[in-house]
Amino acid sequence: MTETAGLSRTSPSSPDKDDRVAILEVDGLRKSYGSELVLEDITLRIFEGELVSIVGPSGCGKTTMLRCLSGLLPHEGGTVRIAGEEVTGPPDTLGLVFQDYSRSLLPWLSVADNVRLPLRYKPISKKEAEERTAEALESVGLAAHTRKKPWQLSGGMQQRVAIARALAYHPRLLLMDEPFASVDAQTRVELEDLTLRLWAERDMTIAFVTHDIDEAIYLGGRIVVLTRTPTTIREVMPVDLPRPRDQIATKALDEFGRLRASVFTALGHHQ
Amino acid sequence: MKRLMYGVVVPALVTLAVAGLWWVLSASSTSLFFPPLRDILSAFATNWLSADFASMVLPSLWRVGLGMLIGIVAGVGVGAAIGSVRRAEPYVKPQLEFMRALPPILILPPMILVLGTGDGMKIGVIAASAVWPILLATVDGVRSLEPVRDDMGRVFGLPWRARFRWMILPTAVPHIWSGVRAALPIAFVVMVASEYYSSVNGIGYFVSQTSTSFRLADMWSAVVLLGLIGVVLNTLVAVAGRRLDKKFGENAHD
Repeated sequence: MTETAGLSRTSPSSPDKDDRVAILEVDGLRKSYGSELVLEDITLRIFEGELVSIVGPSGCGKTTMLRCLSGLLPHEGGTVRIAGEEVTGPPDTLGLVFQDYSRSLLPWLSVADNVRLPLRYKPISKKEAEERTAEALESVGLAAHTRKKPWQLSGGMQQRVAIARALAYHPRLLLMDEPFASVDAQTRVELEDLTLRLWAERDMTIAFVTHDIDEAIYLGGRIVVLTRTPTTIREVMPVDLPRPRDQIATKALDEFGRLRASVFTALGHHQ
Repeated sequence: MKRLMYGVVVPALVTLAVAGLWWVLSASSTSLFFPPLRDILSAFATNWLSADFASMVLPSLWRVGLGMLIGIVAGVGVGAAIGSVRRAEPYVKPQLEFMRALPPILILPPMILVLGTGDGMKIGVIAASAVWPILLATVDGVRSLEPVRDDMGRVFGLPWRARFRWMILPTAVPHIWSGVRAALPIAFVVMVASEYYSSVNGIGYFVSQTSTSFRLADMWSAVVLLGLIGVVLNTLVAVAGRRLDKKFGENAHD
């Protein structure tokens, strides 16, 4: 079962020549643990309305990079800006979906309370928090489960709760850190299409980190390929696949196969 | 039904059987040290089902209660502080383990020297003995917050009081309460011992007086009373723990 996703978008193919607004600006980012250099000179732009996939070999500094981008970890060199503001701690313009949904959700709060929790500490009215919560849960298809506890739901549904929490937060940039790495294949397909649909409907800007090459191509308008540690950017590839994308038709295109080979090669595999 | 059977009926029957056995075996005892249960129970009635209960038992309960309260407040406060500063661990952990390993009875003589023989000393010693298991359990409890959960709280801009209420407290409460449960018997031992050393009232004082004047039925009646109080308090603590867990823990409702 595949739903048609990403209804009215065309992918931007040449990101540098126009006047689009850069939501994420990374310049010369460096980070080391002790004497071990983990991130080396990462420079990257993500523009408003883009969905960019970030892939890297397993064990590369993806997690470290993400923690630096989100302000959870201080970086040593370079600058990170999100929505124009320099990142020194986690900015309130950023939403994050973690891989580990069971730990990122609070088991002692209901689904709705999990989504609402961050909103209680934002300068918005109680009524607006309620509306955003209901709307976000509705849009991920969980309107019927708001009073349940997260552990009463399947893994895929729990990750939907985490997505709803990020949506309700109204972030300018949504970072997704290998969000579907721990769900089964069928659920993964559904969540990918959910992501595309939400991105298209809401004009979102998404940075999607994954180690799955097909997922990176299927979702992304561009693919950022990282190297092994010390991590830097090896290549940025535009994805010229038509939207809306379709799990069967898109993956059957010649271009999809060509991209898969290029990403595979860029990651350092030899065929 | 099965729960009622094995939770209440069976234990009650076994207890009755043991008491009955004690009654029968000791009925004809002429030993000075092991008087018949009949005598012990009649001493129990005279000593504790009377006005003496207030003058002998309440001071003891008051000391245990206040000592535990001080121990809980200090243990949770200091434990939460140590637990949230990860880097503090190598500096303070060995000292904490050392303090916990000291037999509480051992600190009685020095405490008597420093604090005298009044209630302050007794409550102080009880608190000083009860605080360690609670403190160490609190450190572990605060520490056991999942790193991902901490990241989530920071990314979504939860202020520290929200993180404490919604993330740290639910994780730490079961740990803290297991510390309290471990501390309570220690507090009891120290209470009896401190009263035994020097006091004008309390259960420990009573045991010391009756045993040195060979009123052994009275002494045994105090032992039975201590056991009963212990069972009641442990049950109360267990029930309170479940309540707290319901309010703050994994199954909390909000």
